[in-house]
Amino acid sequence: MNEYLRLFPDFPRQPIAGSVESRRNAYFRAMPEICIERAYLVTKYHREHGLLGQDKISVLDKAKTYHYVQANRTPIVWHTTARERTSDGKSQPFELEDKWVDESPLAGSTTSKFKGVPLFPEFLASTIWPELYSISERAANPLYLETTKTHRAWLNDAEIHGLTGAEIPALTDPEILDLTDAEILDRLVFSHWMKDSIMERARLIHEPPNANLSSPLFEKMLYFVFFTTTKTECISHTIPSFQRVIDEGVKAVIVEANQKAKAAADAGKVDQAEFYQAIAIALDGILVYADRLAKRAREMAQAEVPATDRRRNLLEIAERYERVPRGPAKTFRDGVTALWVCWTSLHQENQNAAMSLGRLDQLLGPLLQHDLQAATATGGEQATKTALNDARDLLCHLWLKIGDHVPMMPEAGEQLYGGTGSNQAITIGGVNFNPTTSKTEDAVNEVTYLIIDSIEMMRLRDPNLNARVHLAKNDAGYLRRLGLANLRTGATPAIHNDEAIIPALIDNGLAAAHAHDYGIVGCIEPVSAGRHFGHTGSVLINLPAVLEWTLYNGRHRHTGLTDKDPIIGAQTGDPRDFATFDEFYRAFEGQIGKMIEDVVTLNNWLGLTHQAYTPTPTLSALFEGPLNKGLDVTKGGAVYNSSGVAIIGLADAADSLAAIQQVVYTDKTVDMDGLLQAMNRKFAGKKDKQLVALLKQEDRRYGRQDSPGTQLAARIAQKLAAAFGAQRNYRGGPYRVGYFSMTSHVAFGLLTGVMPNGRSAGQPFASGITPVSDTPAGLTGTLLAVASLPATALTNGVALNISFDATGNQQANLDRFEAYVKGYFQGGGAKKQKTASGGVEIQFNMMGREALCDALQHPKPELLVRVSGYTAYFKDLTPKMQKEIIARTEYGFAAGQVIPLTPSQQKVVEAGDQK
Amino acid sequence: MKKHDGGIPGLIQKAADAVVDPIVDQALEILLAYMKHKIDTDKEYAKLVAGFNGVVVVRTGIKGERIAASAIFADGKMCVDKEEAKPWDVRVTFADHHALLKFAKSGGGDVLDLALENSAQVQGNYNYFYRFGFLARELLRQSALSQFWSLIS
Repeated sequence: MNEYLRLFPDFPRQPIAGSVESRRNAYFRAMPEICIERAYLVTKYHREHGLLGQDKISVLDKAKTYHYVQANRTPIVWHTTARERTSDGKSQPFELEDKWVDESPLAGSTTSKFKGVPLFPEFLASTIWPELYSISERAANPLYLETTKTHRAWLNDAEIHGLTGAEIPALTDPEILDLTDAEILDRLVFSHWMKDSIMERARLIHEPPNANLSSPLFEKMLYFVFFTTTKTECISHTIPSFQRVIDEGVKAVIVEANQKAKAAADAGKVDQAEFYQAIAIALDGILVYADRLAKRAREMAQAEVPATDRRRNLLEIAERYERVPRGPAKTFRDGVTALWVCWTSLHQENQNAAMSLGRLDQLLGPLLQHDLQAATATGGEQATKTALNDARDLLCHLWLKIGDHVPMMPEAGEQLYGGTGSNQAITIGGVNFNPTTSKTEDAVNEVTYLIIDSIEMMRLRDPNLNARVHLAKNDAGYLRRLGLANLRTGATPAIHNDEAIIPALIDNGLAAAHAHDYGIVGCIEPVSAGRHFGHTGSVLINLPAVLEWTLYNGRHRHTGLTDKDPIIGAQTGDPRDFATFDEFYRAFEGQIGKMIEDVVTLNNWLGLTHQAYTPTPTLSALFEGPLNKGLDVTKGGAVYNSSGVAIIGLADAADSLAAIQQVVYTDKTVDMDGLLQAMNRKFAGKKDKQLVALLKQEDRRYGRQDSPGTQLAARIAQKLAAAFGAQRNYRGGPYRVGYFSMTSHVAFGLLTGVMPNGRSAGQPFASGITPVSDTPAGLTGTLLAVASLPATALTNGVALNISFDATGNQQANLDRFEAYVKGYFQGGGAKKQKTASGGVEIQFNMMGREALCDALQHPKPELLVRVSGYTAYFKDLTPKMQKEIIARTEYGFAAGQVIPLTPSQQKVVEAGDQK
Repeated sequence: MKKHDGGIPGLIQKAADAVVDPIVDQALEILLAYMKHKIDTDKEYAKLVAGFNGVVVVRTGIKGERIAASAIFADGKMCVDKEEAKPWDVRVTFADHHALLKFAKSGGGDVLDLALENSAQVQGNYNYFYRFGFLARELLRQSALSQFWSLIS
């Protein structure tokens, strides 16, 4: 029996209180502040050690850089101030004292700010250069940047703590004493990376200025309408492994790395020796930072009155941080501490872009068991209850700490991707593989439920909770609890089907035990946790752009259709000459091939550039594989290597193809020329209304079982999976395809004209793998249609967004929730098909349209919504994204019937941007 | 281009455009000349280009008629060339004068917006363009130029 469920059968077990409550309140009150520490320290180290302008930067130099950062960044035990936005659009500081007091048991922070924005000048930080004096007050999601002379905590740190050696140069740096943060970024950071950012490095190597390329790939990407390659901004999108740190401690890994460095050096393997040295140095940086936090906590304790809780807490922190992550974790609190310190350290090296934490319930479960046994032995059931309560509170603190950073976003980026968090996914539940019996076993444990409860209590954007469900092995109450969490939070957790995903991962080449140990990255992307570098967000493809190339023989309306305009795609022929749909579809597949060629080439160029300039010793040290192979993660050191592709606009593309098939080629209602002419006039001709009605015909579209649109969606998915699977990335691994769109379905849609499915120009595409919103098939039909797509073609994950009107009896709603998820996962009749495996993933919005419409008028800072993959605060999203969520098909729980938009809701959706 | 209504209001608008359009045409020249003047005369502003060596080409007319100018930064100085200097570090091409004016008014921050509209095309090293955008925005922030732009918009 699960001890937590036995002792705490009813929720809520305890309201948020004490330091959790105060920190959460401050979290929502605080606005993000740009922290220049990391950017400055990394730049300074690179400048002083001649690393800029070189042909490559060694992994050893990178390790020394991050060690330098860890030794010099501000060691913050508890924050004392934060900053809030004022009603006049400006901002002011507020003290974290009295009711806002920050007394988290988890010392340390990602940045020097309470809610910080770390900058990575080696990637895209310079995109905010034009905004240095306006970013604090911009209309959309302002990020505060200090533009007056400021107290520099890390300077004082040197004076206070008497730091020595390598720590001193940055700490007593006279060059920054008289400068503001904005000036430091302008003069001492960005200006040094002008030829050394990853994108510029890659461009210079692969597309030198005089290369005379007809269609340079970097330019093509910067049209924003074809594809996006996230390697320009990061190498994250993965799950590190914390198992050895928990089991043995960082010191043990350092010892091993040093031994291997010596052995490699003795064998004359210079590169390997250097790599192992780098691992040891990067890990030592983690210990240096932990030690500095411990030292700071002791100093703060000494300043407190003896025998106070505050002093006791500080001394306990100091003692704990001296012990872990240096040595093995012995308690649940030790484990969370080790994880947290490593987490902040990883973010000194890797941008806060979908670095994910993996299966925390499996990692921390044994430590909690140890605590519970000790508590029961010494204090009986009451002590056990206390231990469980403490563990849940600690998780609440962990979620708040994990949310202590926000991604940097330039002004124009806000239009496309506004509202995104750092997309730090955690995974719970599902099954494990028992190697002895070769059987699967229920993995749900006490920590699984503690995580659900704490996430439900906190309702934060980060972390993004993903629950694995194995219908045959997990207790029925578990799925019901997930439904309850969704009803209460309105938007979390996302639910993943083990019975579809595990076989698909095995089919993809993963060992059974490793496939069973999958965790979710970023939004919804499954990888084998801690050993699979899947860089799941490598490429985002606008699939309707591929259709556009087919319709215009390699051109796109966004870049022009005249003879003078560039041919961006392949020249697959004038579609007016195609006699059959098969010819048209072959041309479409030809354009898919061109898109794949482009994005794979560009992604691999950028990957190779990362290998040369941004090796990742910290990530490699916390990953399964690199220590055995003697290879950095960026060079293929992980056990598994792949790159992930997200396809945007599947439903619109499939519906368009189905419409062309029937209207142009089967019924011949209009020929291709007529269709193109109608599209050119944006369906505004006298007879176009009738044509649009034909193009939009519902029973043909994706989202209905066995419809032509659904069959075409499956055909496209299989084509993309096969074509991408045949490609190899820069680490020697395959490309995997998924269907999650984040906010990109709105961004790409914004740049796309009318489509053959009757969609209007500039409208959002359907999100993720979800059918187009005005396809009212009823929920059951929609679920079964989506479940009919083969999971083996969806191994980079999918996001199926379903909105419910959650009014009515909660128990009845939960009954229906269970039934819908089970029906979707089992695939109904679809599962009988050879290739189908049942639905892969499903995620919800359950707050209802009315609440969302009301929030447009009366913004609610804490209103959490599911975008398409991650969760976000509704108020942070762009007006277009807000309206897209409101316009999504909403279903009633009772019968899964479509609830149409009311006239007033329709008005809101069609109104101009209101933000 | 602006859409003219018929009748008297349309005539008034046409008359106004006849005055304003030549200024719009010279927006690029005005921006660069003022930037140079500021660097030459304002020590604080000049600090922003200390150590900045690079060539930024700005031109109009993605498809047709072009006007071009180059901002050449070297050794803490700036000079303006009324032609396209080569080699350049970054070249920004605006679809027309109005796209350029929109850019000038925003002080460089809106180039991505323009790229989204396909009203601007950026080639080369974006970091140079971001730095140039910073200089342009600072120019607006520290001067009455933004008010001038608003008068002719």
